[in-house]
Amino acid sequence: MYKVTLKARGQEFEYSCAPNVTPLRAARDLFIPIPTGCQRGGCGMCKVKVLNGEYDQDLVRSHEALSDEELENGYALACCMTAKSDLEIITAEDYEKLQK
Amino acid sequence: MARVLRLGRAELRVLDLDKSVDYYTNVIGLQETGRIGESVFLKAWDEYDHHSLILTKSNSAGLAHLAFKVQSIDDLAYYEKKIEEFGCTTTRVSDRTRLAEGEAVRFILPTGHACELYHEIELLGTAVGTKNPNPWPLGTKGIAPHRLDHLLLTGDDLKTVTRFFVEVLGFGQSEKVVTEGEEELVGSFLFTTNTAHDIAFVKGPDAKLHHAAFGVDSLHDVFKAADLLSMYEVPFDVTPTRHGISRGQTIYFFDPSGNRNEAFAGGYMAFADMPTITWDASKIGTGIFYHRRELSESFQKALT
Repeated sequence: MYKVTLKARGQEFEYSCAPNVTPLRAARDLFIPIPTGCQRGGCGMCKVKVLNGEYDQDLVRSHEALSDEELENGYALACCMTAKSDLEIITAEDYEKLQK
Repeated sequence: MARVLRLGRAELRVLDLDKSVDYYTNVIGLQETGRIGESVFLKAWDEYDHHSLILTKSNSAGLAHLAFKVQSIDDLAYYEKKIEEFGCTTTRVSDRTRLAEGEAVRFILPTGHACELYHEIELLGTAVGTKNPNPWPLGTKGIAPHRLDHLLLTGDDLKTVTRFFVEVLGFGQSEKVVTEGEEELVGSFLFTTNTAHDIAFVKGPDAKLHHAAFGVDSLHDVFKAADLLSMYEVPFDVTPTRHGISRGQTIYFFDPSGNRNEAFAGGYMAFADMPTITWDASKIGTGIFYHRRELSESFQKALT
């Protein structure tokens, strides 16, 4: 089990995530309000910026939802990634607000 | 007189062609009718024409184009002129550019979606034929809808796109969703057949797909679709419920590329002389989901 720290909707959540479960699924199972859409890497609603930690991102995804440039800059889709260590992530929406 | 018959086809962009063909043939239950390059052509068992759905491999999801079938080949030139007069540029897509398709008139809708009109397409016939047919074929797979039913797209200027469908293509508007004082149009439901909608628009970003809907017979079939989707572990957006708008029964779910699909049943019959039904934007929750009476974040924001 890895520890995930998620910033979403202006709040911070901490939860455990098994290595074979996506951070999105683990959050939803605990009623943590992570933005959720198609769960197929198509719509980009669950886009997060990874602030710390190792992870695998499924590379078959919509490039409109997650471009190669975003992928390189540490963005990921919480519906089609798995943790390889403890993770610190923030939703793209919250991250954008933080930058302003 | 020129006439648009129906929504004839939709071309969806998909991320993994094999996975998508497996889903649309085994879970949705369409029949593969041909392949060319990285596109696969499919039809529902009760459709006559060669295909109603095209899956094309891409690195993004969404709608590549939609197309309406017109009643005669002469209608192409008629509508081409009207579309140009409205202010949209048209081009001709030549015969057999895609499998089994004749010439088409192509243009961009005021909402940014690529749209075509066509008349010619190869006739394959339904799975039950036209001589002493059985009511349904044996051996179908999955949900096995009758047909591609409608599309819901998003766009910014719904007044102009509605005017385009009504004035240029001769559609009726069955229902609309408006803000206070009818200042802004935030939902527009349009028909050319006798169903409550052949195409609809909701306010949102231009050129995006909200969902592609397949027509099934009854609430029982919607419920059975839900069972099948759970068996195949397909992610749901909305489990079976009733629409206020159209009165249809519905379920929403996502294809392997995140394109939203719907299995849609029922709804009233629409006629060209019906007055438009109006929903206040404050009641849109009830209009879309008659039981829950509120929208969900995913339904509103997940687009491809």
